[in-house]
Amino acid sequence: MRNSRKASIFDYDWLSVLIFNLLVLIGIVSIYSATYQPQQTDILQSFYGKQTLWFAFSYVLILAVGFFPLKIIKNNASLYYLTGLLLLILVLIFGANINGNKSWFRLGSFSLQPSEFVKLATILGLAKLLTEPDFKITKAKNLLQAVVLILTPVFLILLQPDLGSAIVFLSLFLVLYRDGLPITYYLLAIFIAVLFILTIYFGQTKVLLTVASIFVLTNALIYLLYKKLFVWQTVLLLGIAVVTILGSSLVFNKVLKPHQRNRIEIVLHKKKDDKGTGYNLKQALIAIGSGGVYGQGLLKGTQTKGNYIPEQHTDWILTVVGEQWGFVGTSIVVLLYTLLLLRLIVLAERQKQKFSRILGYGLVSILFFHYALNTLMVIGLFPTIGIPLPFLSYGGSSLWAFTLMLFIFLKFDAHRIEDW
Amino acid sequence: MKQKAVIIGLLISLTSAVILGRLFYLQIIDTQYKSLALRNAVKKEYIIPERGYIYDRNHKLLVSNLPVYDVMVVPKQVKNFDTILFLKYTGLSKDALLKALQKAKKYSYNKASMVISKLYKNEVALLQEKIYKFPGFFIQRRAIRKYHTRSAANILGFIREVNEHELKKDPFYMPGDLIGKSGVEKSYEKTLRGKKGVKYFLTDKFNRKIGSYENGKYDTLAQVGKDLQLSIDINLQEFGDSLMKGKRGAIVAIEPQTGEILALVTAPSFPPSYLSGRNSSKNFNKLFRDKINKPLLDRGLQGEYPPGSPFKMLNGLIALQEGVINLQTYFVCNHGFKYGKRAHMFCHCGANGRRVRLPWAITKSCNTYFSKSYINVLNKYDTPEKGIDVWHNYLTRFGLGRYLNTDLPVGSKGLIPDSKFYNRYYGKGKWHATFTISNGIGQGEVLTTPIQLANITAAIANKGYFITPHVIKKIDNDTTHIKHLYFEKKQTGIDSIYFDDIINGMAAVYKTGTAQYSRLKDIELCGKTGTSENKTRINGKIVKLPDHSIFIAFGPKENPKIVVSVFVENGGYGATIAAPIATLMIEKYLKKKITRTDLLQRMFQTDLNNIYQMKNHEKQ
Repeated sequence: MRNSRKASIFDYDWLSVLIFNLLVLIGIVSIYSATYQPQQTDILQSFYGKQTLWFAFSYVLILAVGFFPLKIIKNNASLYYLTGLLLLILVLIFGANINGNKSWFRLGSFSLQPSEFVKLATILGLAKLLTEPDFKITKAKNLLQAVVLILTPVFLILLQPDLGSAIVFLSLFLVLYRDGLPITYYLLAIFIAVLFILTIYFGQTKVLLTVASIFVLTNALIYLLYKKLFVWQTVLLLGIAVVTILGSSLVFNKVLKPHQRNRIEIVLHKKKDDKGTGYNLKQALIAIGSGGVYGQGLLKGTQTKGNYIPEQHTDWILTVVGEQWGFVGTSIVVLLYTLLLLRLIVLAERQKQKFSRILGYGLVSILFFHYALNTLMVIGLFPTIGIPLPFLSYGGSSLWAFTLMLFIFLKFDAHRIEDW
Repeated sequence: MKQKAVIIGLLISLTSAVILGRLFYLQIIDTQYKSLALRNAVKKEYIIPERGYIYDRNHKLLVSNLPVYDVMVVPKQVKNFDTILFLKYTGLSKDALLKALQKAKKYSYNKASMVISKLYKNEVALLQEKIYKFPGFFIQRRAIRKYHTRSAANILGFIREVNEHELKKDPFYMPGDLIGKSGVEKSYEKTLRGKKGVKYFLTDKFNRKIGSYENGKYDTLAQVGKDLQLSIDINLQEFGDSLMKGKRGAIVAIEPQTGEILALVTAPSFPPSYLSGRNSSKNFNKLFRDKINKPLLDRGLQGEYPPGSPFKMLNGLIALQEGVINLQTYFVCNHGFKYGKRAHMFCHCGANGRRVRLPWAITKSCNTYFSKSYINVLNKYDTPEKGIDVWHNYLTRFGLGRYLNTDLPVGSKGLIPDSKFYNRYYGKGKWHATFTISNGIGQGEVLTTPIQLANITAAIANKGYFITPHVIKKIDNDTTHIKHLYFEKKQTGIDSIYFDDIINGMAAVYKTGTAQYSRLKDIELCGKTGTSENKTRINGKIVKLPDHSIFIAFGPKENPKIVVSVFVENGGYGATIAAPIATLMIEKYLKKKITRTDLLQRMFQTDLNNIYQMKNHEKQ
């Protein structure tokens, strides 16, 4: 133990730390431009001043993680998970109501979003569950345990309601894939998702007929070529397809709220609503599109200056990068993320311990979903949903939660050869 | 196990590739967002330049600009305000304010509407100081025309807000811009209006200005409109106005060597300021609806009348040029002559059966002489068609029967009949020269405008050519941008040698002829009276009204400086009103003062309104 703590500073993966710092700095500059007001004198009252403060404090957290024994983290994983769930219940009771969402604890001028930290807690809980002796993901009982573990916070967060944060937890199924859950489940999920989109786009009848004829044709072809029939597989798959297609319209029309329906239709180009639900996206596309190759330069973006994009310093921060630094700027951000994620996979794979590997994949999954969904949303390839861009978007809770996640894993990685 | 890591890595990389591809498309390939961004955030604001001033030929300022102030309101920004105080500052009635606010709301909640228009500086001073007490209201400065003369409304014209048609036609204009609607304000609109400046602003999503765009890189400065110097002598113009008081008609004075119009008087008239200022719309409607006096009609340019006797000189000139008469040619006149079974041309030249020759025929205005000369011109050719077309061609070269192309936006062609005209009227080959004999004495079908009459007088004074009449003299003290047309000598096709006899005849009009009582002692003038008959129907009976009084003149005889044509509706015999007016105009211009005050007084006092009343009564 004593030994390991000494060596640790130099054993932290410098590339990940570097990318972390770069992303946060890009974020602070972007927040500065997005919320710049020439007459503002009190830096600590400004958004970029606060974010800088949060960034400074995240180093306190990093330091704290450095001194925190890994064993305690590992052994108390279930406790963190349960504390997380407790916080999610408490926030539903005591949380401040902001725009109809009960997602925040408010203590004076300070607010905290527990769902951000529950991500870390859930990863730890999942790692703990998956490293239990005799745990096999292929066993129905164990699979059910894992699914319940992931979906419980999802359920609680949906009660707030905060769809964006809830969806991110689904990324943890990637961890299960890495740990042995057969790919069939994922292909099936993709199959259902594609059918859902097709049904909304083309309508129930068309998709139903097309899918049915494809099934008949492929079966006929297979029979002609191999003189074989996959009767029960076909029936099962067809059954799933029919249920999905019929269920899609039902879910779409009855379960989703009108604004969610609008957002999906806008992304599918089935609807245009530049003044209403689609306003944010339209303005975001204008800002990003006007950036060109090199962008308009710091504080030069006309759309950013004119405050055309609501929530630009939080969820829509990429539009600032896009307008001011152009394609060069946005591709740097995308490449930094990609590099960080791939690097984290490499780190996860080199873990000796299953616990820390699951931790690594948990981090990769959550980070990937955040990055991918936020970016795809901003460029109009995914329905508008409230997901911040980790490290860049304004907000202390998000920054600290991801800092903790990243550095706890990096600490495990630094100590990977030791038997903690 | 490693394989699954690769698959997850590929999934991540693929997602990033899709994102990069989309970003590449949005930021580099699709250019629509750049223009959308500009449309979002960059707003243009125009700076309206000051309109050019207008001066007379002696550099006297005629038209300048006067700042006026409109009180505007944006209904959305209006909060509770002290209505009583507002009414006190503006002098508006409560009803008027409520009405204006209602109208503004109806027009737009976010856009500014006018509450009070065209307040003068002293009227708006109080409100301007306290405007902050009335949120939603603001004061907008603009300029209206200020006139330094009560005359020449027909020449100067007026400006109004552009209409939709003009907006569509010329992208220069935006709603609310001013445009010249008549006079030189219209014909020199592009010169006077200047060039608008443009300022680009960045605006935020609430359309508030947040700074200049690109540090004003694309901004342009406004260019002040150019000043016009007119050829009008405003003293002469005003003098003409005073002479025409109580009469209907026109006076046109031209400098023959240059074609510059010295005065263009039309009566009845109105002061130009009548169509500027607060009541301009109301006043315009009043003038427009006055179908009896037709004050908006420029009788000098648009009034078409039979020219009467002055036209005889043209017939004489054409006959001389065609060689059908010469100085020795005579016609016998015995109170006129018979030219058909029951057709008789009367004449009161007083020849009483004696031989009549040029230039006596002109002095005494002998109908016989000129109608016979006219018939001879037509009969020189095989057919009257050919003859009349030759005759028509000469007159066209004198600027008759067509637009003169002055630089004022209105005009009339008048009428000079040709073979087509008579063929249509009588049928081809079914008419003879004598059918058209009235043309010989300027009656019948012939119609001319007072400016055309002045122009032929100029051609006579110049002995054969004229320069198209115009009112422009200089643009920003420079003649380079004036149309070439206004320097061009237009030849009439009559040799200069033939003019002397005509001019001698005209000079004798002042010495022994009809205008001898108007003559000037020390300057030799040339003139010609004219009288054109007109009748009207009163209670179903045709009643002969006093004749239109016509006179043309120029002076001095040698090296003429001014030509004048005068037309007074129902003024009676040419010598009674038109001749004194023309002569007084010439005297005023050449000598700057009038010595014959008795004559002047007589002209001032002549009021023909009782005759016009008679006509009006019938029309109603």
